[in-house]
Amino acid sequence: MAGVMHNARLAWQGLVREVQNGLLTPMLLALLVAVSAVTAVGFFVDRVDGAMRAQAAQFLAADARVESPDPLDEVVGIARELELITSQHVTFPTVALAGEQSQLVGVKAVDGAYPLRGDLRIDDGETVSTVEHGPPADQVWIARRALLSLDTAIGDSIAVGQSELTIGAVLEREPDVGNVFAQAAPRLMIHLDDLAATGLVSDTSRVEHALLLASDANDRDARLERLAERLPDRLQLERPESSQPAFETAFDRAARFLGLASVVAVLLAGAALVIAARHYNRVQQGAAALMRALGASSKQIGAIYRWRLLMLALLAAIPGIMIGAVTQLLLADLMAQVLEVDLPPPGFTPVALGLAVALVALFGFALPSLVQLKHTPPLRVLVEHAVAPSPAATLLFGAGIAAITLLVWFQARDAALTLWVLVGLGASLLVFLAVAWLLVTLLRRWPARGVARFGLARMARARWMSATQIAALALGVTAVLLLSVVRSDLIDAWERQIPADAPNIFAINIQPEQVEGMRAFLQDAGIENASFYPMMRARWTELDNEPVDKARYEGRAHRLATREFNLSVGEEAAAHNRVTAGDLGTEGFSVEEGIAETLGWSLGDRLTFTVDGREVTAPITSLREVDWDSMRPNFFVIASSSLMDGVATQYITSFHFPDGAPETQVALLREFPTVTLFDVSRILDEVRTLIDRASQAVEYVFAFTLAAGLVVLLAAFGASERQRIHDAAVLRVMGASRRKVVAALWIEFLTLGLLVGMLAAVAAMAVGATLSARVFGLPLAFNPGLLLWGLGAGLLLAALVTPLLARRMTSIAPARALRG
Amino acid sequence: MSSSDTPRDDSQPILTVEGVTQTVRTPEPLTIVHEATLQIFPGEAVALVGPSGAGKSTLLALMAGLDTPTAGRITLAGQSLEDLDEDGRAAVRAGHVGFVFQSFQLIDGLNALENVALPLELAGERGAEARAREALVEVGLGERLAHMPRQLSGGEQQRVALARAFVIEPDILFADEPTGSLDTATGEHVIELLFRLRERHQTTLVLVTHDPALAARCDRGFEVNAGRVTDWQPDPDALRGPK
Repeated sequence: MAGVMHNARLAWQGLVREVQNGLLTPMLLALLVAVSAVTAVGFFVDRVDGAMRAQAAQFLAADARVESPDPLDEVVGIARELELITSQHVTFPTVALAGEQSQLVGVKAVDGAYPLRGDLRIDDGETVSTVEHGPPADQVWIARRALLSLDTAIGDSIAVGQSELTIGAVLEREPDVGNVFAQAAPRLMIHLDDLAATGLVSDTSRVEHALLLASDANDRDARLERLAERLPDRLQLERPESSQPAFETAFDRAARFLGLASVVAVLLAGAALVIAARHYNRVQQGAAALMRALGASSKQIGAIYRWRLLMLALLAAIPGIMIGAVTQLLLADLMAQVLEVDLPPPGFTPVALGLAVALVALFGFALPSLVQLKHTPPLRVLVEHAVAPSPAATLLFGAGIAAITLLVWFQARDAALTLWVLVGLGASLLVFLAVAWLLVTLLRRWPARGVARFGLARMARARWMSATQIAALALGVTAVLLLSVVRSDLIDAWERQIPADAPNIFAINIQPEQVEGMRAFLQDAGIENASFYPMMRARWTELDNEPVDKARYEGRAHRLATREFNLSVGEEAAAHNRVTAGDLGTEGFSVEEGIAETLGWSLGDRLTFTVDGREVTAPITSLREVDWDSMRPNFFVIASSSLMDGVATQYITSFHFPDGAPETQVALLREFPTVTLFDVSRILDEVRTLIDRASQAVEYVFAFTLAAGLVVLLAAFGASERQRIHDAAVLRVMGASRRKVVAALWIEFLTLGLLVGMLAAVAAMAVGATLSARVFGLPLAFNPGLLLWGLGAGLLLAALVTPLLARRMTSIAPARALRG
Repeated sequence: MSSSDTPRDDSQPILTVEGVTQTVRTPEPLTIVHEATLQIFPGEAVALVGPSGAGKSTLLALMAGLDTPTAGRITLAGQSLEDLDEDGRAAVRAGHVGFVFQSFQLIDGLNALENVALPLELAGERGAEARAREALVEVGLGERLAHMPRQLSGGEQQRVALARAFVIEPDILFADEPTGSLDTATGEHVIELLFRLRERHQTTLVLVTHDPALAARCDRGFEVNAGRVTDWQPDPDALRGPK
């Protein structure tokens, strides 16, 4: 134990001084950037994930929900046994009356506990406020659309069944709005105690009873699980999953990109660590040899340097995590305005991740070089050319690849993506090394004279070292170029996905004879060429002429197999989908590939649907990829027109009303009273804001990537600084002017910058074009601007580094430099 | 260190070199030390003299177990070095051997006190810092404990190296051209100090030098010439007194 402490003490002594004198600065900075990037993104994603889960619970207004056409008293009993918090409500459609006006409304009668999660927003005529309860007894809260169409105002009375209730407020928002298509009419919310008096609900009425459940206990999930087990077969426990898929998809993409940006920062930091560790190894060989001469065993030397790395990891991880925590505050602040719930406090997972990244990066990238110090021959104290053997290539590459795999996996959690990054990175590095070696070899033969000759000679002399530096820097610049290109492509793709005029209103229940009239109405409202798609309710009954065995399916598949489908007809409905297999023109069903996978359907399978009392059987003749974020009507199943001849159908359309235009909606409903409108403006606005914020978050994280690139540069040039100062001193002793020394340095670095920029630009063009085509579905196009950017970046590197180095090289007196 | 553990038998050599040859490939084989044979007894001060490139430092490296010979046998402090691996030889050095080098070999990142305490720390000994402080006071650097090597003059650096060498109470001290990087006056002060410490600590000294005056301070010597080792007797007339 004493030995361990002595080794740790020796490791610490050296570490403190080496940090002070700058020897460990590149390694420390590299780790700092890596840890900051990973923890910032980790904290941020963790918190927003937590908030999204909380928000998903809001969309259910509870932690779980059970729905049934029958009263749920039995389930309430079970819930109380399990000490779950409960709230009940009843929903049903009815017609509300105000004077001469009438309006079909969706009544929701809620108890005093509603909602268990989330809140409601109401406008009482004076202020818009957020409340955590439903209307009091004797009051009704109604949607603005209903208020307008009933020609009423707040404070007026309206008749709901046999009751006269006062309009207390306009209901702007309710948490559990549910599936927008299920909300068949504008909301009218009353207190559950007022329900009986309306006389609208009897044993035979078609109503939906809902029981909301929540718990603040730590074992909430277990309690809900126990309740689910005790539910009668006909009932299902609904848990918050993805109440807003568009929102989640956007955030998921942003999170992935942020993860990848931080991985690139970490990998660049890894490159800096490899370079810095090799330099550190060279500098430390004298100390290691001396310790060996003084009697230290190789095991002890190994232990001292492992301790030093461990301490370095902690030294970098602690401030790194703090920087990450501060950065996530900025990122979280952006998101806090988008999400409707408070962001939960940061957890400890990102802290552990930050520490893990520091350790994995250091031990994977730096240890292989440092571990060789234990093999430093003690003879080196007398003979300077006695050096430690270079680390075995297998060790260097093995540890590096293991570290990269772990680091990418930490962020991507996706085997395929990890593999792609690894293969791409490995292949690029090999190509870069080979090309850089070739270019440096060509430089050797360059018939340069005078200052240029000295400038280029250094690069040509250490061919492998120069090639490695060029390759590492080119990789860094490629990553930065690529990230900037991919970033703007990504943001463009997002913005294209939900343009400002994306449809925000859906209209259903349009009768065939109303289509033309409605088209004309929309045209008057400024909407040209609205597309109307046939839509019919259909129940899937047979697969390959065998009745559907519903017991075979679980979860989502079970829900799909037991519920009715919205089925459409004709090729137009699939016009904006991509056919991935089969032929849309052949008679049969065209199926969305996701549902086909869930239900185990393949091309050629024969499906039978009951539609409008008729059985329709046909094979699956095509599969389609559907962009659910497109805000256009999309369908799981589309039948050929010939199959549905004579089947009664209704139509669906979607269009954009600026800000929802409630007055125009009311006018439309007055003209077409049977039509139902769904306003998704709010969701669209939120998704759009999210995209905007996510883009900004990406910009912040991008700064880490740039910082990591600069650290690579620092490490690469720090590694050769001492030798350069010595060489410059020799030149000056021999009579070279400062100007000549500096000119030689400029020539060397400009050449290096050009080589790096050229390699990086070509690589970024190739990979960028592939990514655009494969990932963003854009046409394959090379971005020639990248060549300029790449060369510019290379020259900028040279311009940043050369003056600094020149100052260092010429400010030290030659005599001092030569003494070492 | 171990000198205090076991009583010293001055009749047995502390270092025996028998027919040691060192050949290196550069790329042609080159014999640097040719069948060297010698014995050194406890308490002796022995000089290795010869012109630059004669093989003195190579022989010193072999004798101290810093390198292994191509042929021959070396016994140091009762241990046959050829029977030991590198870590075994390191253990022998840790227990019995001190070094002073021409280029001081102080660790840049450690201050004077830490440099002197280093061999004690490596050996896991208690009270390393206190003993290192004493050693630095002994060489007259009690006021420079926290100074970094770069803040010390060449002479001071070599005094720190002397303190480091003697702090472990070695049985044998190998000094390789200890004044080679110093001016004459400073060199003489350092040599004075070296011999005074050696006397006080009763340490065997093997001194590599090409300076006959310095060699003359030793009890006897060996001349190394083109790798061949022959007996050499110091010339008392060459001895320079301190100024």
